Amino acid sequence: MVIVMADSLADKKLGTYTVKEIKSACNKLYNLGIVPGARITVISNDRGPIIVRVGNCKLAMGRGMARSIIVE
Amino acid sequence: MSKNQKIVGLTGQPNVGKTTLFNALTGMSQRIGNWPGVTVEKKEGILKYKDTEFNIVDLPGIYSLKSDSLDQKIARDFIIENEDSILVDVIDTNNINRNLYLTLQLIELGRSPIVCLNFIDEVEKHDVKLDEKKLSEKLGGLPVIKTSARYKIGIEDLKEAIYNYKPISCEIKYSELLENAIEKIVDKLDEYLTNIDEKFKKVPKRYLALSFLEGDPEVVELFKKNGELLSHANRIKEEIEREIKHDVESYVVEQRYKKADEILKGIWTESIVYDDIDKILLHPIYGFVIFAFIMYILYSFVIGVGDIFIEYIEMFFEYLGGYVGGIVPEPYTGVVVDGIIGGVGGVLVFFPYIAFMMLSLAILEDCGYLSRVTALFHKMMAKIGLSGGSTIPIMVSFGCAVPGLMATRSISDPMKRLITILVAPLAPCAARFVVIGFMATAFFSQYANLFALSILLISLSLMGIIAYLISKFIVKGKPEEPIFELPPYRLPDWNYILKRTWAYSKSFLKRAGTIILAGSILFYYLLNYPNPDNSYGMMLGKMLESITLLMGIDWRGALALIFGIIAKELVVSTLEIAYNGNIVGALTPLKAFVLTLVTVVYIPCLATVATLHYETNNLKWTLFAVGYNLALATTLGIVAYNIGRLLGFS
Ligand SMILES: Nc1nc2c(ncn2[C@@H]2O[C@H](COP(=O)(O)OP(=O)(O)OP(=O)(O)O)[C@@H](O)[C@H]2O)c(=O)[nH]1
Ligand SMILES: [Mg+2]
Repeated sequence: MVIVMADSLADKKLGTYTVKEIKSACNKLYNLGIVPGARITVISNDRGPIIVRVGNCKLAMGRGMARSIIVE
Repeated sequence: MSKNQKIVGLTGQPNVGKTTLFNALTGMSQRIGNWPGVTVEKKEGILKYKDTEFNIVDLPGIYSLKSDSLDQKIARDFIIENEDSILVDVIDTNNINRNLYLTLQLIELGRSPIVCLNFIDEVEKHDVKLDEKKLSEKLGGLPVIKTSARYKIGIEDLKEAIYNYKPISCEIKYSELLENAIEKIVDKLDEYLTNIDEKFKKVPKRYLALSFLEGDPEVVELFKKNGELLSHANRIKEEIEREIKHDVESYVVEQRYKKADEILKGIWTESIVYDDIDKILLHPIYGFVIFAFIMYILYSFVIGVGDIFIEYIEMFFEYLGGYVGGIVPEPYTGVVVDGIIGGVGGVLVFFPYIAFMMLSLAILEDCGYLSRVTALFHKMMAKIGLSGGSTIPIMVSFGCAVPGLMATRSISDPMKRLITILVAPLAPCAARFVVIGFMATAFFSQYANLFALSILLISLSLMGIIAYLISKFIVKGKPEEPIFELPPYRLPDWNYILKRTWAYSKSFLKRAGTIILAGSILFYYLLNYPNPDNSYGMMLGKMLESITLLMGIDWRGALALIFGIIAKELVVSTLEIAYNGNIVGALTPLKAFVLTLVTVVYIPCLATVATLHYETNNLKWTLFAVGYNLALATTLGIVAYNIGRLLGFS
């Protein structure tokens, strides 16, 4: 079996990633354009909410939410 | 509405400028703001262009047409029911790929919207080019117009496009796999679909098939009513799921986004504008420091600038009272000078505060900072049973609880929304600031700021405690995973801000001229008939006195509180009248403090109670809200008064 380097968004440093999978299907994420294949940029993953950018739209999300987004 | 008046529906995702566009087309000034979910109810206005009148309808922003949230269902029903309407699909061009998602769904629904590329000013500032002719081609010939609603660019083009609008048929195809599945379902639709709601007779069959696959609750419900159709469609759904190895719901979503990217390929390049300031503004420590600082500036501005004007207004009313007292015939001097000028003047004096407060709130709303406050406060709000989304309704309630309660509609969790509705009216609104300001200047001249601040802090802590208790014991919900949009910071639209402030101010003045005036006159007569020493008002007040005396408030104060239910400013007017303008001699600072506190907390005004009922749609919760406010205010008043006495005040 091949192990793919995929983690949740919550553990990622600043940089741009591609969404692999969304664990808890959530309409809110779909609405904001977070679907498998979408590019997502982490702007801040420090204290407080994680700030990301999808397309030209900035989003702040809690860690629980970020954990359900698997990226590579 | 005349028969041949055409309906034009403005649809689009939240915060794309629909209402700004609506205002530009109709000349009205409906509420806008730089956060998603400002408009919660559809608004209508008239556009006259050449020889035709159009009925423009501003709809609440929606991300998609899926019927899984109430606002999206309402918007979809509007679109289905008004099948002859002209749709304008407003798009934030900065986020065009996400916005096209909704455009694609409109096309699926058999509509051919006018595509309005808004925010073109921002896009062109970043030197991004977008070929609208090519976009129109790729969208099957839909008219595409570039506009900037704020800077009034392209508005005439849009009017012309609306005027010349002819529906066209256009279809956009997705992957072969999906199209095959749709086709197979559609094939059997005529045969199997026997039990169909009137509404769905108007939509294309392809749309029903696709919506079923997407798991649209209403359409799934429809299929369930037709057993054979359901099992047929489920078979096809399983087939396709075996192929793609995950659920078909998200597959449909992915397909639409893919299509949007495909359409944009070669005609649009994304430019990313970076700013890092949110890292600090959302920081759990610096973020709050900055918030406190901004609030402080705002407060100083409102009070500082307001004070300059207030002095003159006070002088004016004093002069007016003296002058009118001299010319009005004897039997009427009482009601005119003490009743009308005292009562209405006592409220009008605070007009500058109110106007500057509304101005500041409108600026905060329009620049984009409020969305940061939402994210910043989420953790704290979650601890007391609310959510970050409760922040904006509460901030808006500082202006007026009525729009504040309406703003709760953007809170997705119904339990959190209910709790927010129940506690938001505790925020001291502009009318209550009139009372706070009045008492502050009358009794606490030196410590006015301290007094106002302590009332504010007490009411905010109460809000937190009550929310916590309600969420713990009465309305239990589960914690929610938050995700917030942070729209770009924008310079406020000064033109709009001034208009909006003026509209608010006008309604304040109107209240002073109607409710407050009528209330003052009524109150004057209640106090002086049959005679001043044994009036109806006295009898009414005495009935409550047994309770209010426990907090040091005599029958006059009790009567003022009854009037305050109609509009809280009336507490000031009535006290002015009841004590003949000499309230300082009649109350002690402690009593003034208690009375202010009770006024701020007890039953919100009638308009708020009505809104509360409308928004919860539940009599029980409305009565609960009124009841707990009343109980809370009574307890608080008694406790505060007695503590004050123990501390040696009188
Ligand atoms: N620069 C610029 N700003 C705009 C334009 N159109 C709207 N805005 C601003 O964008 C923000 C959102 O505008 P609204 O009209 O409230 O948006 P909406 O689509 O009605 O939003 P919801 O009612 O929340 O769905 C406001 O701050 C407007 O001033 C535009 O063309 N250019
Ligand atoms: Mg709007």
